[in-house]
Amino acid sequence: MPPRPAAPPPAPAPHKASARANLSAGTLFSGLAALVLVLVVAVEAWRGMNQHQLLQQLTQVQQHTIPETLKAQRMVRNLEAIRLEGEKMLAQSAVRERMQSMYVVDVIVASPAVREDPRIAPALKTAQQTLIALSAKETIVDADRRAWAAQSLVMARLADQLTTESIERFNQEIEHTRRTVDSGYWQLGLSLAVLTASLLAFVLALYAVLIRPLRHINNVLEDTRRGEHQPRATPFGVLRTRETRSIERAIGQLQVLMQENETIRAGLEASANTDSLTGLYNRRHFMDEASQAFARARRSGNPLTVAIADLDHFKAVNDSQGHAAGDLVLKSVAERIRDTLRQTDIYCRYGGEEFAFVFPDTSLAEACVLANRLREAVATMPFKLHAHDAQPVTISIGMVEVQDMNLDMALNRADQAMYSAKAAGRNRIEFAPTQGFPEPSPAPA
Amino acid sequence: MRLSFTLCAMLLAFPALAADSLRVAVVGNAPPMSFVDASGRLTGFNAELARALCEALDQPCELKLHELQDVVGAVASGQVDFAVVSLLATPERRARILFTKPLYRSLSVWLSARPFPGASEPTPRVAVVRGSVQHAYGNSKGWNMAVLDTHTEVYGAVGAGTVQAALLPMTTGMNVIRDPRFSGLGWNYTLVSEAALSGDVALSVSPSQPKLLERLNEAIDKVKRNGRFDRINTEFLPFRLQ
Repeated sequence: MPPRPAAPPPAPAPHKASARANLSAGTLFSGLAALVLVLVVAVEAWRGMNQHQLLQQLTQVQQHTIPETLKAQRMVRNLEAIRLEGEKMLAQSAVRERMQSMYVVDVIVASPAVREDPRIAPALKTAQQTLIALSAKETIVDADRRAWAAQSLVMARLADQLTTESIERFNQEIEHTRRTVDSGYWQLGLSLAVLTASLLAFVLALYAVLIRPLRHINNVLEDTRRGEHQPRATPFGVLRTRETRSIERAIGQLQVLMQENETIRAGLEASANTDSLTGLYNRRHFMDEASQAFARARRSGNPLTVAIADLDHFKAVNDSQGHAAGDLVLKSVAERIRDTLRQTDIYCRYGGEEFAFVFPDTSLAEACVLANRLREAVATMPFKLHAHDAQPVTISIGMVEVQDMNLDMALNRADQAMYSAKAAGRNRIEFAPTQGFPEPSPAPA
Repeated sequence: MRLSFTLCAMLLAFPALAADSLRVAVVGNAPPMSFVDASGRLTGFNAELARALCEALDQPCELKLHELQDVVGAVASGQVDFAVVSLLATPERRARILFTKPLYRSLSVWLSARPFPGASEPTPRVAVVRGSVQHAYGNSKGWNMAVLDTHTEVYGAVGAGTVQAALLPMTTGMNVIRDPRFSGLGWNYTLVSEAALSGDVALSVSPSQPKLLERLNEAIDKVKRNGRFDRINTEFLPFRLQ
């Protein structure tokens, strides 16, 4: 099996420099952490504003609503006090007692809290006037009682109004606070969502930027160690940091080096085993391969045939047309050998113009067919050894079927048969004497 | 380290602070605001309010009786920590002492058979209490005044006929009207809301105690919220102070 020249391994395509910023992992993750921090701070500040609003509302209740409610309650008590003093005045005729009651009414009506409240000031002024008129009367009549009853009712309604208004004010504050707390719940949910999303994004970034490239690098290095240079090697993902790119470049260079080494190693091996002129195995390598074929044949008991071929009149070519022409002929014959014989056959340039063959698992009859085909192929080459006598290039072949003999012995027998072929007129095949010979090929006309 | 030091200092400071009694000035002869009752107990709106505030401050108090004329001086000099006396927060007083937030608004009352005098009218002899805004007003008008040391002396002066009029705060004036000695005189009353005779009533605090002022303001809010202020009001006055 002749060696085929190995194709140079494809160098990893240098991927285009990414348009992305050449970020280091530290910068990238610092940036991400800063972004997450800013988000968290923003969301918490937003929630803090809600808390502040809530606190303001509670402060408003404590500092404004409660005092206002207490004020309203006091006003209600004073309205009731006026009603009570009015009733006393209706019941009493003594000037002193009436004056005492009137004093209480006057003090209440004169207070800035009443004077400055447009809801109650007019009604109380009217009530005060009614009581002043009453206090001057000697006798209280029913009309006076009805008039006061009407005033008293107005004040009772005012008291109701003040009470319900202060309760309603509380209710509004509570409603306001409830809405703030409600929006606080929404903000809490949203902030949790933002935090979760940030964390998730961070983990994803960690995966995309570090974990995934690391796994990829690990796989590629494993492949490289096994000698497989997959084109999948690079790039290591979409998001690549400066460090990842450095590793990519280093692995690319490593792969190129390893491929170059492989090529050189294959080249050296090929040149060590090959005849430099013809490209066929050299004699040393042929002997190795042939020995193995002999061993296999011994183990399997399959037939094995050995042959030696020699160019006829080759010395005359070299002498008359020069070594360059001789080399050309040798190369052409080698080409015919490669074209004619099977892949399983083992052959080499055995000597100057001599070739040796081993046909594994092949009987002499079968090998003879192949050898004859080769002989014909060489004879029909367009070369002429002597331009003047138009003599074609021919080979003489000696063959032997291996039976109870070693490689050297077989080659020796085949060599003798080849000389027999030369002696018998060249361009023919002769068989070494073993048991029974197939018919020799007819000599060319 | 610094925080723990502060905490320790606070823990040490509070019991010490709590152990100190606050000295509180009250007047003893101004019913219904502060007076000694039949059983000899100091009571009245201001006396009870003083006790309620000390409870709200969570600090023991020592009530000290003063004449009205001495109250501002005692507070200004730090002889007492604060005073529960119905003082109008006038600019002259504010220059000497600190005032809490207003407790209520007050007026003055003119008690006489004669009307409240106009600018250039001749005035009768008017009873006032020394150191009161009414006294200061009479001085500014050049009135003929019987300047008395306590509010209870007004009753005697009115009953004895040594004065023809009295100018008093609306709360103590009310008690004069209720007094039997007043009923036979044929006097009337006039509520006076002139700026010099009316305004915010507040508690006075020693100028060296600004922190106590803050605590007292909180205590006032507390007693107003927890109903203590209103219960005391109901106890001593037939109307709500507001």
